[in-house]
Amino acid sequence: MPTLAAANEQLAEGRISPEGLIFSVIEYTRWPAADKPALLCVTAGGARGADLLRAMPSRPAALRLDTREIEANRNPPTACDVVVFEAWDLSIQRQVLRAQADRPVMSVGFGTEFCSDGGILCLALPHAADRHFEVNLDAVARSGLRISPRVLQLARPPRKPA
Amino acid sequence: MKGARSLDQALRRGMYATVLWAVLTVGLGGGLTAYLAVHAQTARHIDLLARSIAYQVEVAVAFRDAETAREVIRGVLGREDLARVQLWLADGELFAEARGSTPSAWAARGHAVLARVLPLHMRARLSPTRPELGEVEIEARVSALGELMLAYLAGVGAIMLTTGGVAALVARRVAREIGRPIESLRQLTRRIRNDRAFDRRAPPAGIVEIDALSDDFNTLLDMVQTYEAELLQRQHQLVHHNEALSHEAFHDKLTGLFNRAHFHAALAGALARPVDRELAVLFIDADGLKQVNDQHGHAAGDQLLQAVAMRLRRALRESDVVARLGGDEFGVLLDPLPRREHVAALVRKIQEQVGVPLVIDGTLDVRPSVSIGWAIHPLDAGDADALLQHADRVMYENKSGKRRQATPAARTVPQ
Repeated sequence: MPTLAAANEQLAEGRISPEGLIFSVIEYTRWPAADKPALLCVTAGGARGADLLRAMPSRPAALRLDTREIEANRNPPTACDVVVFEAWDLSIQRQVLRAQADRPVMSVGFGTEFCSDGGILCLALPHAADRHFEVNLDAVARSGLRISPRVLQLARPPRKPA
Repeated sequence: MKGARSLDQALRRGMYATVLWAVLTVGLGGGLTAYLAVHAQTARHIDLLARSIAYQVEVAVAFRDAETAREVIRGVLGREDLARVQLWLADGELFAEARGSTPSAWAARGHAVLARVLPLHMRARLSPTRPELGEVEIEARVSALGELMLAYLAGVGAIMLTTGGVAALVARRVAREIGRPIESLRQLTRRIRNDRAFDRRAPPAGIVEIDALSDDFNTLLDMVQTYEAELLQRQHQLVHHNEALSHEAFHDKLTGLFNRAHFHAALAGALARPVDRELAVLFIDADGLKQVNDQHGHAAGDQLLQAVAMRLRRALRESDVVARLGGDEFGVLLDPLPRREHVAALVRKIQEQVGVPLVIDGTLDVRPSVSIGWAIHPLDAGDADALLQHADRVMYENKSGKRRQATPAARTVPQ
């Protein structure tokens, strides 16, 4: 039988998948028009997007969510509430992010640079050791999204390599 | 008296019973109320605590951030006096846990007891909207509640002791207030009984019932005192009467001298004593009484007799018994008789003193005289009768001698 400390250590390490994390952030976020299910738009052909669509049935029961695939490097439809950027051209991605900065759209990307470019939720890169995430508070404020402060408290910058 | 209690004991018993009953009632009632209050409070507190923890860790669990969750529950554990906080996932897996320091054996036993009667344990959903997220389970530490219970018991104990002490004081005071007048009444009764001091009265006590008792007692004393006074008065009357009767029985009414009966008794008494000395009996006859009676009336004769009696009494010692034996006869008992020669001298002295001229009613000039005979015991006779007879005979001889000398005993003052 493992000791309690060891068990806690096991528990602590990366139990949540990127899909689970995205679902949870969506769950603790309120859109200004909250009476319809949120529309989750994932970049077609991306591995993460595919994972997300696959994980839809296991999302939190209370989370009302619709999905749509969008083309990379094209302006996403205005109906999208969540846009998952995956393998976009960085300059186009920057342009799109800037364009929708004042609208209540949660932009989800991978890597710290995504948040520097004006993205809202930045997940760790696939090869990263720890599964931390970041939230761009300025972008959140401009977008008009209301993300639960309890979620914001969990967000933290990547651990510096020792 | 078997089973009898003092007033103090009886009062104290009553007081203690009352106090015990009151304190038990209040203590049990208060205890029950306190228990219900503590139960409700504890249940509410632990429920709020569980929900508060759930709110704080909900997102961390949703994001599977065990580190943050552990930080939160450790903080709560330190602040909130909890023994254990556990976060369970919906599939029954333990997500995070925090435990307080291992309690002492004594505290563990206290916890086991209190856990049976109080809601120390609580499980709550992590999210009000996501039941599938999991549950938080907390266990309150018992120390605070144990202290509360101990404080309550100590309070009840202190109240019992204080109230008992106050009851004892009050009982003693009441007993003193009631007991003092009763005791003084008892002492009064005893003094009255011992000294027969029926004039004493019970003082007021200031307690209505005891005052009523004192009043009754005083009324009774009044009656006894009156009765006693009447008895005493009657006794005095009787004594007085008795003395008068006694005087009458042993004295001659006319002359105030002893009478024949007393003379005989005195003589018999004197003769009954052991013979270590002599005594003498004089037999005295007033001369010429019949003549005075016949010529001047009995009143004059009586005055003559009174005068003779007075002069006889004066001529003799206080201790000598002088009696009127009847008519014109007097008897004298000389006891003791120091010397026989004294008799003749005494006879002369008597005749001299009796013979002083006397005026009766301012008109009758009399020169009283007496004839005296005597007898000495044991020289002349051995018993009373013989002594008197002897003295009588001597007196007659002397009187006859006097008649032959033809000396008148009295004569009429010329008109």
